[in-house]
Amino acid sequence: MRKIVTILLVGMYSLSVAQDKVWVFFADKPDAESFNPHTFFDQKAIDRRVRHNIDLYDVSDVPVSVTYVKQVESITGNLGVQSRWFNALCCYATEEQKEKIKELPFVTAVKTVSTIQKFCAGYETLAEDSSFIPNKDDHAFLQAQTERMGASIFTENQVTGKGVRVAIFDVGFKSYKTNPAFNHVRANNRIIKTYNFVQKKEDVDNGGTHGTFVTSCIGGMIEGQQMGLAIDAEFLLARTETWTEFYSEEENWLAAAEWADKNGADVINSSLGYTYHRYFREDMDGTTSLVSKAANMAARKGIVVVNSAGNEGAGQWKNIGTPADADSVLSIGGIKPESGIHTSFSSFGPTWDKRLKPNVTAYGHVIGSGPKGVSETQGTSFSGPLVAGFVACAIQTRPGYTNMQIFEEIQKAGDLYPYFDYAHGYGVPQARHFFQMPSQPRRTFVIDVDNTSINIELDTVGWAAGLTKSSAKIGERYIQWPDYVFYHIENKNGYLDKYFVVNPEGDKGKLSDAEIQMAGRGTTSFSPFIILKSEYAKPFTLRVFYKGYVESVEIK
Amino acid sequence: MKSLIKIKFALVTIGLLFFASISEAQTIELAQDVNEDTVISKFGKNRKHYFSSYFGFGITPGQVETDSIQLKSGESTKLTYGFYYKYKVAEPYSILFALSYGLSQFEFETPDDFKYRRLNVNDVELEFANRINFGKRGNTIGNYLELGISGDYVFGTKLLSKQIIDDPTVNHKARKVELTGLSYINKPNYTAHARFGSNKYVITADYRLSDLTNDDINFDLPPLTIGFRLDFGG
Repeated sequence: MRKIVTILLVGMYSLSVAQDKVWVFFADKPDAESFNPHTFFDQKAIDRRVRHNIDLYDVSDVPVSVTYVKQVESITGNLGVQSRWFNALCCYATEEQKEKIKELPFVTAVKTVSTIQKFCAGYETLAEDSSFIPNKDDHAFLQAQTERMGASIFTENQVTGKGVRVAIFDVGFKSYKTNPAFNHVRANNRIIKTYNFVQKKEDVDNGGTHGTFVTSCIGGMIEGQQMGLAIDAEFLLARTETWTEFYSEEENWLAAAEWADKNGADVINSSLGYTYHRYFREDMDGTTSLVSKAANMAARKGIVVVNSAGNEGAGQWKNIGTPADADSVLSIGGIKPESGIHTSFSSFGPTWDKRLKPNVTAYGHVIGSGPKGVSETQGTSFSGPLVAGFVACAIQTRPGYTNMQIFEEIQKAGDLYPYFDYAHGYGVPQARHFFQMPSQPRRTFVIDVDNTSINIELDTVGWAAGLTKSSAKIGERYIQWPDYVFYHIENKNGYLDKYFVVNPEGDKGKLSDAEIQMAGRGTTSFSPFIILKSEYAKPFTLRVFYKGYVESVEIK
Repeated sequence: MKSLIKIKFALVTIGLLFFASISEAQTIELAQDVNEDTVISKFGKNRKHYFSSYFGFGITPGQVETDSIQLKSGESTKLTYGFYYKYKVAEPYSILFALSYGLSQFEFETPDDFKYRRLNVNDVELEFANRINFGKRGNTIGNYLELGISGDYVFGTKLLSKQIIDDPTVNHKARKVELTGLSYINKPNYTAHARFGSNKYVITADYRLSDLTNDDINFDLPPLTIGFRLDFGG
């Protein structure tokens, strides 16, 4: 018996003390002088640098020294990801090997990453249909998911993401070579490059279907119906996710970002987020994780980085993951098509250091295309790509803008802007913003402040005058614009303490249009709202959004 | 003056009630208190304090060291249900206190006319354990090695047997015997525990350090149980 116990204990011990994964950082780049950006970069990467006034000979773009890499490899016998941005390489090393590496004169630091083996992992369950011919309802849904952002305005102006290169990082892109949703892309050879960072090969037609659905929400088209907005964009597909080891995914993400940069990406879409498996909520500060540092670096290279906020909204974690926490990352939350507001699973902001996230939102329930057909699926994984397609179109309309100018414009294009909260950001970006078509909001409420309370009186005249419900019907689907009253309490530090979305119609909101007409819309029964001052620490700012109109009052 | 204040208060109250009744139609679709989300919790899988309940199942593979009676190979089992409190001392090291109920079943070989002969031992176990975690992780249990020792108290014993009676002259077809309060089982015991866990999945090895039986019988029951455990989380 004692032998069995001994064997068991030894087995357990050997399982738990594997070689460490380390990042080795180098002091310099001796090959920098011979670096030729014109042979190293794709022309589009050069163009992007010129547009952003980035030095073509920036030392952070010079690859890691081959000599240094070889010397480390001679000690460890293995090599992992190399990062030119951070002048470092990843490898496995024993304690003895670590000490030898540290003794190398060109090594500045050896940092242990360690590894955690995944026991299991999961993505959204995708109930795939077995047909690539969308039914009537699918058509309507597809139209709604793009029209909610103003697809017809982009179409009228022939804006389709043409000439914009979008890199997509995901778990795998099964069927992308044959999927009918990408016929138009393949026909024009617009899948520029692919790389599988997990298996170190070009083929990405493996790993999973998630990336296929995601790509369809950026630039897919089925039966003449666009699934995303950037149907004429170019694509770089990178598989970065593995099922076996947590932290290597972030290393792959970094490697993919550098690859995307080198190959001329204008936009990175990453429907990936890392949360409690590796981090605490207080780590969501935009600087702690490797992947947030990598995302910020990609932004510094002029790329618009779009990342899904995450699907933890209804879970214990609740908040955004990383790299959605990075300040230069456009983080995308999800809304429910039927209500037009936050869908329960979409992760909430802000970041741990109280920065606004998510920045904007899009449908969190979509129709996508997988290997077996088109089907409805959900997750902020798909809100992100819808906005990534929007970003590609925005870049096409503003060719001279830098990535951070585009970032700002996307926020300003939000249908709640300048109102914001930590569930919706600035709302769903609208194409009209890019065509000098800003709607002139009419005053829809009046704020009246007395000694004890703040009264918000909704514009009943507007109701009486037949202010129409902010929705449009496509087939059996409604496109719902935020028809609710949004208000938030901002503290003296500029952070939100509380925020609310209220349906002023209450149960009436659940009635059909015909029933509402019969009930006599235009009565005063929906007004006013009363907010007691005593409930909030003074001073604070109350900001209210209702039907496109925003007003705020400061309470001292 | 006081009456004027009272009247004002009454008017404000009536006004608020009036508005409240008007606004009954409004429904709050979303309400978020950001401050509640930005408090660092002391409780959690990789926080200072953590509670978890668990269910375990193990097999007692050994044999009794006597020729008079034998255990059925691989059929003796142990079920455990309990909960533990974990206190994180430092990043890789935690201490745990666990309280659990265990049901050990020893299945004995029987003559052909017996359906079973089984010894059930019910006990409660109070354990102290040390957990060492491996690898960087977030707010998860992670991978760990755990070593502990428990004081056990047997509060119930039962020896059950069922004999098939193949005799047409007898009315009943089987004879069931249940003996409880077995005097040859020691009530206090102590056990060493070793576990390797990966989040909620745990491989366990328990080795009883004391004899389960006393001098009233001439053999002891096998001390080792190997199995798995599922942590349900706090």
